[in-house]
Amino acid sequence: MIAALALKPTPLGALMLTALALHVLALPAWAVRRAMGQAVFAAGFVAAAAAVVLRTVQTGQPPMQNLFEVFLLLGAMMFPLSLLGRRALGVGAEALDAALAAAVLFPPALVFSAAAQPLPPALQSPLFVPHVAAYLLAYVILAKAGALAAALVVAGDRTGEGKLVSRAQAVRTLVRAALPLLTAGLLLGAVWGKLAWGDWWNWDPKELWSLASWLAFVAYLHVPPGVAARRPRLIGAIVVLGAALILITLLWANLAQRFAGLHSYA
Amino acid sequence: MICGGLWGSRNAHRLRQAPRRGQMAVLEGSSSAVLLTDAPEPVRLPFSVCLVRCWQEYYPPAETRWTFFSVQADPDAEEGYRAAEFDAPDGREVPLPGTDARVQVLQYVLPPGGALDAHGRAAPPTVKLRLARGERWTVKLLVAHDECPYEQLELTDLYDDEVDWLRAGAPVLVLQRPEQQVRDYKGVLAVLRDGREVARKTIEVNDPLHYDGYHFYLAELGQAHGRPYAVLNVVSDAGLVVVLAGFALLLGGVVWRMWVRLGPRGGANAPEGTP
Repeated sequence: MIAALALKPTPLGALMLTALALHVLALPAWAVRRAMGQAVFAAGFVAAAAAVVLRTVQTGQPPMQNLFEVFLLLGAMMFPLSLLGRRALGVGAEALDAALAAAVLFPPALVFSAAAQPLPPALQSPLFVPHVAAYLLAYVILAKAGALAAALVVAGDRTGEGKLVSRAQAVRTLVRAALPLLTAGLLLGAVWGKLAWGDWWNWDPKELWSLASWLAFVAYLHVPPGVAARRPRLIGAIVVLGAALILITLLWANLAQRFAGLHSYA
Repeated sequence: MICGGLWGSRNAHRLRQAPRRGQMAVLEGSSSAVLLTDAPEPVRLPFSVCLVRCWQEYYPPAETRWTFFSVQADPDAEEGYRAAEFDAPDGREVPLPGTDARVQVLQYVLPPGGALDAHGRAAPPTVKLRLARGERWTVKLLVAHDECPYEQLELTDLYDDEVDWLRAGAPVLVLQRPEQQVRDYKGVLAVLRDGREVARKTIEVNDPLHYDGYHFYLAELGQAHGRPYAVLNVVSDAGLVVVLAGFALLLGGVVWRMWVRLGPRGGANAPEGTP
């Protein structure tokens, strides 16, 4: 699953490296001019999206089977969700989105093995795409919420410019946007578990970490408004915890031997 | 969800004296009504399940070439040996790493019976090799076995008694044949009640048979005395409808509360922290 740090001398590898470089370059471009940063970010998205399409054509299946494909897809999702976040939710900080996309694209571009495997029987289900897609969309949104919450914890709240919401409000808006997707991913997984293994809950490590991250975000949204207003930093820490639990669900539960379970193909 | 979960729990099944989960082993062409559970005595279902047919489907192998390794014992290595993979293109003589011998792939051939079996599975391939050392040479035919993807070849014809093959450091040629990955496990089940067939379905992974409150899952396929058999996981569906209704209500409620009720901006003008 993991190879040493190495370039992939294939068209797919070249596209991913281009996407990674453009997302990194978007950061200094932003410092020069916002429009320039946005243009470079958009170009990075085009390269990442092209890599996703190429991978899909090469394997003939949705690029969601292993960590290489999942991280590639996560990186490609960042730009459209960033645009949507600004226009529909009033959440800014697009440079943070580009930085997150670069961090997410780094492992598939240079670390994870790109070896393609045919879809194992357990993954051949109509629930495969909706279950994984719901989680990935939620994870991209919550990665940004986690990063903003970390900034909230470290530097405190900041008022939004123009029509944009404040940092604390952005965290809350993003968590609210992601929670239905996270819930859908969890419940679709439970339905799929019943169809594949016989039980809708199997106490599998990935299931448990996934439930833990869901509970963390639910707990955050259940904090009484008065408490949230008085202690924004403390409450922001719950979102940081939730983001850390997502990292464990996504990475550690797959890579650490101690968590081997029913999701071991992921 | 909690109510459904409790109704479908092991303890609730115990109270109702109904099996919650068990296994059946059925030979192809025969039927069984015996369910093995964690209770001391097997449970008899009021109907029997017939395994009409079962089979595995395979993806065509992505590779047709074997992978070559030169393996030498090495007490200092973690596994006790060193394995060097090397490339052996068809027809070209290449050195066997760590030895003064050479290997040449003469031909990849197929055993009698053709290239594909009835289910599209590629038959185990066979490789013909020429092994040489100095002026001496020998031709070997390696036929892969179904059970093991590795074949081992000791170079005794080339070395005679010069090498003690049990001595640490003696080289061995190991070949790994291309593995076919399973595409699906399938079985045709028929449910018989009072001698009549009341249900029939081709089941596979993610698609069990449902009959009379039980789901039948294909857990394992195998061969016993040359006859295919299947092990079926049998799971009660008690409380499942309630649990699924709970899922729908939970998801609907979350969508309503998070996306619909407060609008896309989540009440951006609301006091800080309004959920």
